[in-house]
Amino acid sequence: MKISKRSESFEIPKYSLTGDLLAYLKCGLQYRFNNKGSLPPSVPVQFWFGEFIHGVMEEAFLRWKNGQFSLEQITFDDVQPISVSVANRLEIKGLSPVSGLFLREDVPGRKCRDCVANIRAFKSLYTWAPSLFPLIEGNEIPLEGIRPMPETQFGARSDYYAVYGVADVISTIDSNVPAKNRIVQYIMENDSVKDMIDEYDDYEIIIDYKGAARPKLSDKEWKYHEWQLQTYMWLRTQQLKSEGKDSHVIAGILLYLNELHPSDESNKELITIVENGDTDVIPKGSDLMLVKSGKPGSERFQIRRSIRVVPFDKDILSLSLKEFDDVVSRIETNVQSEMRDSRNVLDHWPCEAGIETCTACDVKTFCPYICKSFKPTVP
Amino acid sequence: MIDSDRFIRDVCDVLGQKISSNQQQTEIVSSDFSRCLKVVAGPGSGKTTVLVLRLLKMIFVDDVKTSEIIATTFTRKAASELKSRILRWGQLLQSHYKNDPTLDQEIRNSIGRLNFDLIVTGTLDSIAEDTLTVYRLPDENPPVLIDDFVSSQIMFSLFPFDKREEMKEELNDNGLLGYKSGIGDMVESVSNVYYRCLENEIDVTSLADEVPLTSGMMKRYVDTLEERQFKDFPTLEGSFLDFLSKDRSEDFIDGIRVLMVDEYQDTNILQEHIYKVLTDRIVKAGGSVIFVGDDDQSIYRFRGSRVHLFANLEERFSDTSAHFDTIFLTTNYRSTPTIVDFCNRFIAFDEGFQEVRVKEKPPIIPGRECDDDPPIFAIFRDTPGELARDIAILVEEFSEKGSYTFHADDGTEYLFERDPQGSAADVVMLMGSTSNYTDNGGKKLPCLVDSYFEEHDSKLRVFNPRGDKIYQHKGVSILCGSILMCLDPDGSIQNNLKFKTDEEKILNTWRLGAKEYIDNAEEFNGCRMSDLISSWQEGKPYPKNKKWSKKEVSLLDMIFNLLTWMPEMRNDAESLTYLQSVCNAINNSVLIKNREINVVFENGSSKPKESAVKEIYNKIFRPIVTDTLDIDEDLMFSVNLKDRFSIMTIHQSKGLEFPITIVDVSSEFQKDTSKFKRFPDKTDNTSNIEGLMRRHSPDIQDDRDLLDTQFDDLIRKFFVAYSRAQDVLILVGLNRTLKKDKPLQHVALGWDRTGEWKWKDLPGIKFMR
Repeated sequence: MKISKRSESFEIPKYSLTGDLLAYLKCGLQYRFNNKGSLPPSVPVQFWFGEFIHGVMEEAFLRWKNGQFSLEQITFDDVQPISVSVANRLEIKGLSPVSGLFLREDVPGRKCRDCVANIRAFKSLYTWAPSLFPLIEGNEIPLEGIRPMPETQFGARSDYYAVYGVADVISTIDSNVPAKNRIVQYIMENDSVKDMIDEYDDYEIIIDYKGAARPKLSDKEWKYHEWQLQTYMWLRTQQLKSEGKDSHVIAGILLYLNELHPSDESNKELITIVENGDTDVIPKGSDLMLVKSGKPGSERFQIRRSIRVVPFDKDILSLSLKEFDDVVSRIETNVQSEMRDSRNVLDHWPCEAGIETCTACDVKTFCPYICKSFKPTVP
Repeated sequence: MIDSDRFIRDVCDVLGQKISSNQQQTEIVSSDFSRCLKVVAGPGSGKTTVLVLRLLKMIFVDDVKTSEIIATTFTRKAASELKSRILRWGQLLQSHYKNDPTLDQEIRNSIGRLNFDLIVTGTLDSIAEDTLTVYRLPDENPPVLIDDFVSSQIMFSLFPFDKREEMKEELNDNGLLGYKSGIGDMVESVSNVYYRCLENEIDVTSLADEVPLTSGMMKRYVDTLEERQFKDFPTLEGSFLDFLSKDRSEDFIDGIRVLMVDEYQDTNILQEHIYKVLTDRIVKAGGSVIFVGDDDQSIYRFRGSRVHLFANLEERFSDTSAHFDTIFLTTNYRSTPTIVDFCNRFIAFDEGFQEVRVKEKPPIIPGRECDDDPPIFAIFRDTPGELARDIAILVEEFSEKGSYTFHADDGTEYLFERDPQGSAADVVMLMGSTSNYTDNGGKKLPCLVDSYFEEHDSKLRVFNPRGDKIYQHKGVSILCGSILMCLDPDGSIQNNLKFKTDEEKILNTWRLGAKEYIDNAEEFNGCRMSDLISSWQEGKPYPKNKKWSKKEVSLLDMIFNLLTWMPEMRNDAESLTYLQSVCNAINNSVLIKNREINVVFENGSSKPKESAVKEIYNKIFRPIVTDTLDIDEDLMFSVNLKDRFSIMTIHQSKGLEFPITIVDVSSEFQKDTSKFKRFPDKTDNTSNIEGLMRRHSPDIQDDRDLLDTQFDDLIRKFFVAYSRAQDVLILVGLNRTLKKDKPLQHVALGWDRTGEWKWKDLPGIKFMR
């Protein structure tokens, strides 16, 4: 008698833009271990700050909406209770900052005002909350859509895949918004965004907070962040259509919040970046002098470096969707290849990461591609 | 938007789902929007298909917005499958209607705008967590959900160590303890009582008169969760119920027009309460609900599910605004007629069981078209080793050679031909427990099958990620032993901690095994494992030219370094699930201690602090050696491996189907022992906890005899196992079970609770020669 083949699961594979696709682009093998296999990374430091700064922005917004936080002349002391509340929340989740990054209160020899995370929380709200919060239509908006499954080496296990993400903030801008609003001023500087504003009555902007410095132009992250926002804009557009709304998503804004209080390391790195012309926000005059001497530029320069406007662009969207299709095809091929040879997991996942990623990677001492450069260490 | 009759036609034409030939399916899909339904869905009856089509009908015909639908299932995987089907079929129908020129342009536009992603699907817990997060007030923390490991660790820390004997006596006197009585076992018992209390909405302090120590420990646990602002699953559900009674939940509830609950037979009292509140409000506002389940497949009583909540649903919801109509889905599209008939006979053979089934439940009917209809097969042997050999040969020949011939004892032969695209994944073995070893270390069936593959140089291996207790797993024991060799090679710190003899034995075995492994480990990339271990022991940096630069080292970092020399651990999908569980335990221990568990060095020296090493013993190794740490099922992302023979528990197989299903009925019964697994003669701890709950909750309203419930459980469990089979069902076990003069009583083989063997000698079943 003929025995049937076991039916494949009906599940549509689901891929998060940041947690899967961007993670895989960083390194396939690291993705297999940390994301697909959910092995926790040994040094989750970056993770704390990212969660912290997102939490601070969200909590401040909720308090402002409830009349518990004023946008008038925000001071460090206004922000500190919010920072503490968010840090406590993370502590409950088991996330702690590395020593010296954050303080709940002054301690002998060190003040909260001197700690990087406390300062960045304050500067983020001081700089962006007054112009951003009044425009917010919704925060933490889940976005999801499905796409036809691209071809894979072993034949697709599903005809679609789902792509999803969470937009930190969705903003609307109408004629009542004062022209001096800082966000509006920056988006108006962009000609294609300005054209779209002139064209549409209702429009939205997606804002994504990054607890990171502005990547250099040659950095893969620079490109990935744009793809991420283009895809969010596309997903949001589908969502609006289904709600019967005629609104258009015209731009995305990336807020690189570390730029408001850059680390010494970033300041040093900026010297080379500027020398190589590897950035779009170039210091001039006194800012150039400051940057060349390894110091942060003026407040104005820092603010400019912290905001990046990404106009909706069909061509770049197609490119990013095509790139994500390609990544999904590669992940699916790797998954299926592993399913056929489950005792040699490492052989089925690629590593094309740069030295920075590899240095911080937990599997570096036995990664088939780079282990020769990294030996196990004590301590 | 679309006419109902047309929708039914399109379901057939566009989606290829021929529901119109099935009256029950058609009735469910096309019923009026406002009709509240209880669907009793037999195995393989196309339940998910029908549910999805009903939801799509509500969207396309009744104009329900996608964002107005909430569908809950029992597992995240089931939720994901449900959503996947909605997305796929929704999309196909959407394209069809959008491009249909006979439809009004406005209708086509609205259909074009539909976004199926907005339908909320998830487990009740995930929906509760998301809702409480979205609707939280400023300064209110989103719920921090702790997993079973963290929960049991907190419970462990609250154990009254000074009253260990009294606690044991209390638990034993009330029959709440299983057959083992270590601290880990007692903690597990208290946890079980705690979970059942909350699921039955019983205040833990109300048990103080009957079980004072247990009640006190539970109260301390409740206080700790509150103080640390943690939620476990029942407190999360409790908070959700609380939220539903508040004004600010109005936006949430008013936004729901349709509630669908799948696997309702596994609901508990607290969840029923939530569903009642939602149902009442939804139906009053003109919405609709649909509850689906199968009482015969309710196998989670030990986790608090109550089948009578489903069986008596209409009556239990009589105080809400909903009136339910019951529809039975009886046509089975999964299995051959012979398997369907076998399942029908099995579920009906015990008269005592019929009392608790849904009233007037019809038998399942075969509906699958199939060319072959082979008999039910059986392989019974004298020893587990012989049984393992024959199973291994069957699986190997089938998957590697492409066919296998079953030689029956009556001389007939049956050829099982693999599909050209098929693989070892087409065969599964289902067992009550998939342990590789007995308590005494003897090899059990899964381990014996794997050993057979290994000894015969087969390409195949077993995939059984729950076969070993974590401490038994070879990779884990070498890894943990290596950590001990680095931090406490002579066990002097261990000796200062109060480990029980058997726990010490495990730690020492780890150490010994690791020592041997380290000495023989192959050099990797010019580095020797023994050199790294020596560096740790001597407090010298490795490689030697480096400086001793750190004040502490993350335990995870240490593990990844050690994995350099452990290719089997980092390269094998099954071993990786064990590694993930250990690493996640380390990661989650932050929640218990509020800081990371690291190797911290004495000030200005390279010697690990004794207190830090003790922490590692207590927070990581102790849960492993006391078997409190379990494999997280969500970590097993590879369950359809083509190069592995999967062995899984019957519980894990729920909702799945397999072309060849081997069900182990009696491979472990060499003697007339372990009656609770086959023919219970006294109440077990699950039943005794239930007795305790009944005495303290007026809402349970269940007077089923406790011993009878154990028989009911066994019948349902094997019904689930048998009904997974699509083409071939093979029962396997030991000849001792069927011994002519003194067979062992076993529900799975047709013994009813009165002690009569209704299926004497298993007629009609083809035994292997």
